[in-house]
Amino acid sequence: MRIIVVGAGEVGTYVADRLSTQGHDVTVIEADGERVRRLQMELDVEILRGSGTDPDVLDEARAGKADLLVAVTKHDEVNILCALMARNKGVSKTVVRVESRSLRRAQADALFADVDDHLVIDPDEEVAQAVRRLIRFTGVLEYDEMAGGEVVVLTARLPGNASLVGKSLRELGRELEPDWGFIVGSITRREAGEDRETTVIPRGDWTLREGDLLTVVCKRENLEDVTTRMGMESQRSDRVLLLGGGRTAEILAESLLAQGQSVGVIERDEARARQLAENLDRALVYHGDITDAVLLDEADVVRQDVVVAMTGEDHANVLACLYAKSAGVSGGGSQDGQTGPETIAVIHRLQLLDLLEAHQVDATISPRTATANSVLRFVRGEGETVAAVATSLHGDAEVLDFAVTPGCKCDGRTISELGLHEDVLIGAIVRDGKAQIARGRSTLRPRDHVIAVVRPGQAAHLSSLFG
Amino acid sequence: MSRPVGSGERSPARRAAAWPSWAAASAWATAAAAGGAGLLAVAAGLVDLLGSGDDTAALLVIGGSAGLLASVLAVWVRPPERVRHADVLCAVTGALVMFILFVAGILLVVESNATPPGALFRATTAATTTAMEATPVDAADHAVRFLVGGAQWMGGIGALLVAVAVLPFFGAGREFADRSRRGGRRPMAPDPGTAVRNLAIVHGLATAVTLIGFLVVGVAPFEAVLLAMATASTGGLFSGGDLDSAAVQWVAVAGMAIAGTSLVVLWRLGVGRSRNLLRSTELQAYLGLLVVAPVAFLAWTDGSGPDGIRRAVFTVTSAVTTTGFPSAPGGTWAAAAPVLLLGLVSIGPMTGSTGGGFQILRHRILARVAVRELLRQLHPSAIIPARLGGRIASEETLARVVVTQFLFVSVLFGTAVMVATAGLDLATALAASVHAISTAGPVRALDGSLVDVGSWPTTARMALLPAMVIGRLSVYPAIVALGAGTTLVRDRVRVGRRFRAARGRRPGPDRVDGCDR
Repeated sequence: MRIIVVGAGEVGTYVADRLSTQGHDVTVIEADGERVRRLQMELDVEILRGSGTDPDVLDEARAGKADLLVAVTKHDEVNILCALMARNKGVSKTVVRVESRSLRRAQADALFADVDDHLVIDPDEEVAQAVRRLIRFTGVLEYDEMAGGEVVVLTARLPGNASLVGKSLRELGRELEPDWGFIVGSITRREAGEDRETTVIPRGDWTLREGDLLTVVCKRENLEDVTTRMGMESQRSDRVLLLGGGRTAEILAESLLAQGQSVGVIERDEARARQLAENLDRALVYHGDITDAVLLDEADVVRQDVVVAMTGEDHANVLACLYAKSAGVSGGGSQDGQTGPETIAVIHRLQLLDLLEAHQVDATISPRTATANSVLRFVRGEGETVAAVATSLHGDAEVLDFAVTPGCKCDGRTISELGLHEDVLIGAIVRDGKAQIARGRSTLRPRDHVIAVVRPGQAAHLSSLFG
Repeated sequence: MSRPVGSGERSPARRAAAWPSWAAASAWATAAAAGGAGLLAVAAGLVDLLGSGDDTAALLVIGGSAGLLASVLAVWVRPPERVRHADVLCAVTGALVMFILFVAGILLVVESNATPPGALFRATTAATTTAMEATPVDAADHAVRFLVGGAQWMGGIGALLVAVAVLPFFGAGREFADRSRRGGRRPMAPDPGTAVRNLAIVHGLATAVTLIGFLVVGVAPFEAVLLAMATASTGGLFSGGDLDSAAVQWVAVAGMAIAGTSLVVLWRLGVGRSRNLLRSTELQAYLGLLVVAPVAFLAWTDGSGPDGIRRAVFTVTSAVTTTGFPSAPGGTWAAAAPVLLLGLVSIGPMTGSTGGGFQILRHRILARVAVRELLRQLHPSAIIPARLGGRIASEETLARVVVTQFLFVSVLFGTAVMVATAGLDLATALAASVHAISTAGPVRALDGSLVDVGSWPTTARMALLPAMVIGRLSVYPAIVALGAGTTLVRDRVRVGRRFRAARGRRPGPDRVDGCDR
């Protein structure tokens, strides 16, 4: 597939990297010279310096032959204009990043009214949505909905008090008979003597241990059961403190307030803090630095249920989360009086993941992966029968959503007859909008949606079965 | 150098012709007062024909003269390019005071046994819609009854004028007129002039609806007109006996409830823009008071059964809307009942209605300020805007409301002290003061019985007049006018300078370095 990515910011770079890794022919257009030089060293893609709204640059990028244009600069108008120009040049699919609410209204959508393959993404909205899910399920590291929400994919580390600890998957299967509500898709763990964790697609003889990082595929109606078994609780977090008052925080605060939760926001810029105070009815907005311990105490960080650090600065987010966690432990904890508030850090440098996990920051979110998942799902839908994809910050597994096309190799066959690779697990089948956990004896039929957990490199093989 | 045609600048001749802002405002105030009083006198003169007709000629002459004065002033004034807001406030105050003086003068002419203080007190209670006087007017004297009824109805219109002029100070004026439409909602009118016209229309319609209600339940036409004017204006001055009837009381309850509702709400209902109307917290609070307060009142009085409920609803609605119809004579109430009524009177109805009191909007702003200051003690770094009806109240607005409250309380206690000095006990003085500044009557003793203010010493009654005027003007314009007047007098008199000049310490105001200016 020939793809043009306009704008090589955090999201654009990550999307270009992922797409080129998957074998697509990617060209990146970036106006900033310094960034272009840096990208040339980091990415194995074609990079053009210039504006995505310049017809000459688009011609140079061979827009007329491109299948997809992803416009993800920071300027909504530039992105929309790029997409319209690309459409004129014959690009069939477009993805644009639009943050402005006024440009997301129906009038703006009318610009692409006669276009089928068009996706509008908003990174701030995606991140806010991801945080909202994590707030709902404390202890969950990642949460993804597949097949229209009928299937949920959870990633979480197994605590010592989880009922799953010490059980083999075979024993667990016997417990769940006859109608399984979930299945363990992958396990990431560090074996004795090894210095790093490895991810495997487990079989029946695997026994779950404390500290295992699990990717679980479950039916939506079994979510409560799964989180309980994994030692987590689906609970309502009444008090949420947002550190940083950017647009993502504002979107998140609005939705939390709409659910009746108590929200506090700390913002360093006074003018922005005043704006937030005016926009967010019932939220308490503080003006100050999120690394100021006195201010965090004033905001009653110890008694919060959830603290979300979401400034644009990783070091501030990390420090604030660590302070919240330590203050919670020494100060008597949150409402349950045990471990202090749940902490969620939005981070931009994935190298910090290990540090955060080592210091018991409960969950992390990367804006680029949150956004990239939307783009990747859209990209991979073309001719590859994959309707959705969930990449993970943690572990080394991907979750894919395939559609069974009539007459394909798997049409009418049971899963056990497919002879799948050991790095592939079919977790769930969604038929006529109803999800069921896949078993060896499950038969696939046309138009079924199949949720599969795969190790890197197996997507193409699996895709050939469904196409 | 020649000036290009259509440059937009005024010619020197036109600039010279325009009156100063204060002069134009004063002339308009005088014209409005004279015009209103003249119209009232003419109407009363014609109404007098229903009775003896003795005063008709005098009233028509007075009315005609006042009307002529108003017309001359209206034509004579050369409007300035811009009228200062302070001058508008002074004009509103001046218009009310002059209207009172005109009405008092007319009463002196047509009422056979009137004394100047008595006429002034009656005119003030009518024009300020205070209804504090329990002394009945001779039922046969149609002219005087209509004069009093009409004066209070015009006082109701005056309250609406004040609302348009004053509410922008409290961040609520955009409900009436907002050319920029920054208020979010569609305003009642694009400019204050149209807003006043629309308000007058709504006020007239509310009066007409109430009148029809009274006619339907069998009140005689003339009595129904007086009763409707007393109800719609929240004046409460009515000397007939029809209010004892249960049906009349229920119609009056409905009329008072309408009169206490913001006319903007009524206008929205009228033009079909009633969506989200019940989301208004001020309207919710007002309706809540009308529903909950009668229950508490009933518990503290000896009323029971349907009659007791009706009396409770009537008395409480009369208090909340500051109408002040005399009712439920009391005498065996628990002390909490009159205290409740006193509290309701000081809270008052919705802002933008014809009712008085401190009004719900200002109470809400004060409550917001109080909560915000308490929160600031707990969270010094927090930015806490005061939000009213979904909009942020500016710091200026908050400061003005706090100042208004200070002035309200100061006037209240100052009046109470003056009334007490005239020989009344402190509780009665305080109650009278609350009623005067809230423009509500009648005053009640601690056992609920009605106090006849008409029998008080003249000094005590005169002490209440400034409070009534200040209350009717929502405090702020009256205080601004008082300040402007004081400054004017001080600048003219300059007692200190003259005193020092006389002692030779420094040159007097008219001499600089020994030379005449």
